[in-house]
Amino acid sequence: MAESRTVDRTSDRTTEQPRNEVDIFTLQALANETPDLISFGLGDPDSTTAPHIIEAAQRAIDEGRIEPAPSRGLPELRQAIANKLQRENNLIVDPDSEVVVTTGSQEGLFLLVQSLIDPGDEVLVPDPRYPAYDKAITLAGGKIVLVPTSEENDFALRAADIEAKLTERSKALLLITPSNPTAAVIPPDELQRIAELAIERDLIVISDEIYEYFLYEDARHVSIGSLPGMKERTITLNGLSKSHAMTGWRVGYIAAPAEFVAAVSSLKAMVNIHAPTVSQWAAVAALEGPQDAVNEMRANYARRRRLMMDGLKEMGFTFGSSKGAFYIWANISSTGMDAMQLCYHWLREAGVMVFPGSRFGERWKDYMRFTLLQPDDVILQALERMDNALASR
Amino acid sequence: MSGTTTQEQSDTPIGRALARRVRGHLTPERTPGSSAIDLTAGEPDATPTQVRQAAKAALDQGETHYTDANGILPLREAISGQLGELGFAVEPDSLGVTNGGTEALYIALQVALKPGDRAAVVEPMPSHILDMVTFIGAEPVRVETRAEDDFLPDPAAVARSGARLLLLASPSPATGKRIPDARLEQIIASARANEMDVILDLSYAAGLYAPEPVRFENPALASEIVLIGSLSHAHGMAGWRVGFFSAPPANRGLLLGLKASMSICTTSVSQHAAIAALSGPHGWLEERRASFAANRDRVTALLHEAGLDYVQPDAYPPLLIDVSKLGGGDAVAEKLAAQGVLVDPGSSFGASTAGYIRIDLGAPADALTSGVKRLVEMTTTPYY
Repeated sequence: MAESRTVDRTSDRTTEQPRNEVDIFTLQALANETPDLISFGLGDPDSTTAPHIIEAAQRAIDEGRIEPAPSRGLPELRQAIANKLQRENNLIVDPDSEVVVTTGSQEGLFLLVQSLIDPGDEVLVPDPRYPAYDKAITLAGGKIVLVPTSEENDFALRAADIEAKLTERSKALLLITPSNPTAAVIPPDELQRIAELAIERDLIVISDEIYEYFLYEDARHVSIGSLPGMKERTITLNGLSKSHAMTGWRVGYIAAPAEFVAAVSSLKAMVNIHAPTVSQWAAVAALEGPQDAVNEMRANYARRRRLMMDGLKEMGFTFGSSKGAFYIWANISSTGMDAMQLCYHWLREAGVMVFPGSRFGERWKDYMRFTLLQPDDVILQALERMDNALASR
Repeated sequence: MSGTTTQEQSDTPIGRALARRVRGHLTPERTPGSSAIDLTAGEPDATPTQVRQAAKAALDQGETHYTDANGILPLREAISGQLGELGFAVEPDSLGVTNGGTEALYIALQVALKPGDRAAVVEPMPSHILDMVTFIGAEPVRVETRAEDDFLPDPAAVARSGARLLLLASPSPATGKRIPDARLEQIIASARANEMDVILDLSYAAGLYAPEPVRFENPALASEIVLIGSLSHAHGMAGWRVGFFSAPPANRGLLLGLKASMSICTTSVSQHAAIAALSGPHGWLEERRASFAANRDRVTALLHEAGLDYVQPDAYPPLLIDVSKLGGGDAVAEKLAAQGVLVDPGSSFGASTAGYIRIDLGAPADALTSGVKRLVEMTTTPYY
């Protein structure tokens, strides 16, 4: 029958599901039917975009600044991004040739991987990891080489562990610090060692810095592209979804050497022409306007992190130092259940949704990722419900 | 090679690292507004007040978060309604909302094709879509069309292509010509009989000057193929980036999965704008249609007077003008560009239309008049 043939003949690379894929749609469907659900699932900030950003978008709409934009993005936005990178990240980039705006940083990842990876190329990726990395690399025909991280090292990637995985086909190293899902922040001295290794072994570094604003205790963010000798081999990926609570707007960006930006921009023109114009004007306001809302989110997450860590500890869970992002990556092995079982148990018995660690790599069955994207009182209530559900097994 | 974006491979770390398929010729980047008289695109601010108000209201209501990966339900319902009016019965659950029709086409092609596959692409078709096929690693098989037949596809030529996928557009993005229902049905049915997947791009269908739904003898055929749509052309909302696909049940999950992993969801504020555009009231669309008809009549009268032929469009915004006696599309486009007038050479839609240029009848009225006058002047002055 024709329909089954359609499936059979479909591109291998598209159909090949990365093995760590958890059926998130099934999970979400169950969650949607759960009364009084508290979700620690998706990484979508609970705050709405700040009023001055919304007003800037509305002004653009009123003034008719809604026409198609260049494939690379509005010049005003590229300039704002270049200013931001210089001010905050010590990265000096030319807004005309070294920046491209994407329809969210996930699309940025997709475009940059397709521009970089030939079939058979190896990309080193810290494990556990965000599932979209696997999809993008697999689609390009690349091979994912997992670099393990561990609780005893706070899940931070280490140069020595990367070196142990290098082969002749190693082409790129993907870094995400602060990390999704582990909340690990790579310490500056370790980042320096990673940079030296990248130079020595001629690796391209993809640096996903989407969580850079959310740091706790003594953690500090360093952009690896700003280290000596690194600009020419670093592709910096970022976006406004997490930093400015702008997930629905879909604005991300890539900063990289000009010839790479030219390749990505051309691919961008082919795949979907340009990022939405209104969203780009909103992003200009977000980068150049007051940052009060960012500071407020940061303070909220810091407070919630404490609450969450205390509560999870009381349940007997352990975790790394979790000094970044808005997640807690907790070891739940003390429950005697694996993450998927506990996920369903909490959904049914506590009305709480937490993503199982196996979504972020098949060997992470003892871990779960909690977000910090609920108000304090909701977190406390959820902790109580989860604890009760554990006791009532 | 004279491609404008040819990548020079340099001996830098990143130059050495570029993927093979992005070296060499690539899709040119777009930089709108780079010329005084741009006849390649419509009015920049065509979005009507009701749509702008709806977008602003959605923002006031805090619609700034991720949406469902397949798009918000009221938009999928509105798209389903629009497709129904065009003659295609498609349930909201079959639909995926995308960041423009181009993203929908890319997703559909990437899911359907694997490296080495042959894809029949019916000309005239924009070159960046052929680039997609090549980029995926598949081989485009151009199905040429003839001027005597208004550049409509010949069912026999499609059948001869020996490809495993058929991509065609109706109305055509180059000519605005709609494939007659019986012919379209014959082509799709014969492709299906030959086990070909079919992608039908309907991005220009809402812009018919005389709206009339497609009528197939076997309406179920529509549910066996991938349909593509867009709000960029008929609705003049290109800057918002909203398009969609509908897919047969068997590969719907694959298209949605690729969409989600590529860009998570489509911009929320744009989705709300799209609902307002599709749901009505539709007075502005009627005015828009009338304005395109007026532009068409004004321009074609000038062309007629100058003795230049054109393909009579069924849908706005394109108008394909025969400039073969002025040296062909490339030469005329280049000469006009030297005078500050931008048009698309017909060759950017394939060899079939190389003797033509394409203009967008939605360009600002004065630009349209002065641009076409420059063209007309070329008929009385030597071009060489």
